[in-house]
Amino acid sequence: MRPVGIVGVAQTRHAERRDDVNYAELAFEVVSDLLARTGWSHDRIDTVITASSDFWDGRTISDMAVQDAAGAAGKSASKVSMDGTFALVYAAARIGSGAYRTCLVVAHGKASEGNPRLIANAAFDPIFQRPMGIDDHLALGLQARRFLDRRRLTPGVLVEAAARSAAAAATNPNAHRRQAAHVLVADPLHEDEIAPDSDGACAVLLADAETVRGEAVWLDGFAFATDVHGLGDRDLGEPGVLRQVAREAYRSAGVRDPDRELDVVEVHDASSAQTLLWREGLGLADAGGPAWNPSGGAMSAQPGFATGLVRVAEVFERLAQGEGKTGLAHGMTGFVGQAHCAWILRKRARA
Amino acid sequence: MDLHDVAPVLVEGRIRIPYRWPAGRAGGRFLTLLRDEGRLIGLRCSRCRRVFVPPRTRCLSCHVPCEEEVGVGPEGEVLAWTVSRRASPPAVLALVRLDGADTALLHVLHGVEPTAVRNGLRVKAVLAETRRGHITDLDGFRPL
Ligand SMILES: [Zn+2]
Repeated sequence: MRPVGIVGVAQTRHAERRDDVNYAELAFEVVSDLLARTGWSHDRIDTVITASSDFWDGRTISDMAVQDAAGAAGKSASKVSMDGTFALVYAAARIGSGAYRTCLVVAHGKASEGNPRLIANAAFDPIFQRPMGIDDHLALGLQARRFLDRRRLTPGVLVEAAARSAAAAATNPNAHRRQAAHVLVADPLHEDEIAPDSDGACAVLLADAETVRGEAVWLDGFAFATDVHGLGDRDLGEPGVLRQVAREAYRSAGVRDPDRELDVVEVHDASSAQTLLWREGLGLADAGGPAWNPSGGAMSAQPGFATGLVRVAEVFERLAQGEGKTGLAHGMTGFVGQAHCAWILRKRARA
Repeated sequence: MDLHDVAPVLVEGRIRIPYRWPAGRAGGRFLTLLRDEGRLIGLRCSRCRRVFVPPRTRCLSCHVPCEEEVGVGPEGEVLAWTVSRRASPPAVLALVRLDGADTALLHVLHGVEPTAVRNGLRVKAVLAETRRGHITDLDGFRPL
């Protein structure tokens, strides 16, 4: 694959409710910000990939409205109904193949427009699982319980992990400021141990090596994989396919010792149990190693399918500002980590 | 005109669309036996010998047909559990591995306080009095 570099990124300030804009305007806001930051215009962008969920947006093929906002008219735009990190796979392939030189990736999530728990319930199998009232939070509870039991840990580790995420989020200007109480929602998880439902968007601009000149941040490796869907068909207390995704991502980028070679890691952790579980899945030691979720991770904001792409933007910003050379950004799709995607970003001179 | 000063206008709506979901061949067999005979079954992979409950026509790992029907339960073990605190009264949801099965069924636990549930808890299936070919024909599980 030909080298793929990142020209720039943008994300909104994530919030509980953005009643002032519709979802297309939210996407427009982040794309406008990206163009302003990079000094680029739509006529330099060859192709567009968006990430969105019809069910979350409450209309079928909801990306059609986002594509207007992304300046996609007249271009070969496409979308994935998965996390933005998977949209980045599609985008990078378009440039890596040599078919396009530049690609804009836009992802958004506007949880406040619908009812996230009912939407999550509707994503489960309607014959055996949906009638049980299962939703994303309850699935996270099953996973957290299983994780604690398998590792012989007490719920105190969840409290500590959530506190660390909250402390990091307090320094993140884009974090969703919320009032989360320490009340049980889905045992053993409390409200403040579950990632918020946020309104927000993120955009990433990719280009080939002829366009991205000098020292830049490059997409040097990635991997993604999906696991079986049924909650009872896999062990929720294990990182599952994330172990394999991490191995393949490290190999693709020539990372041999992630604890030493990675400077920053950002993961999509939908609960404080996942903060711990995904760290294990990425093969990192319990302590030391790279800066871990310095933005607060998804516990700082969880704007739907933009959540993983925000991780990419956070890692990019840190590398661009000189806080290290190599980082990993993680995204996921499906419940309790059915599908994972990991990107290795590296700041270096053009290959 | 500064569009940032526009007070939000919210249009309320609701999507109601009826569906008819076939339970499939394996799911249909499971629900039929549950309704008519009050029995729980799984299907066994001919290669890896794993028993899937809910049953699958094909093994998720080997991708070969699962054709051998085996009775499972009615007793089993809780593998993971949580409590829906938003439900009133709070509902206990669990992944239960029925005896003779290798995968777990998601269902509700009755007759147990949330604080008394433990992973590894032995439970027994409770059938609903009237059954219609639905997963709720199984009313749930009770501790032994
Ligand atoms: Zn098999």
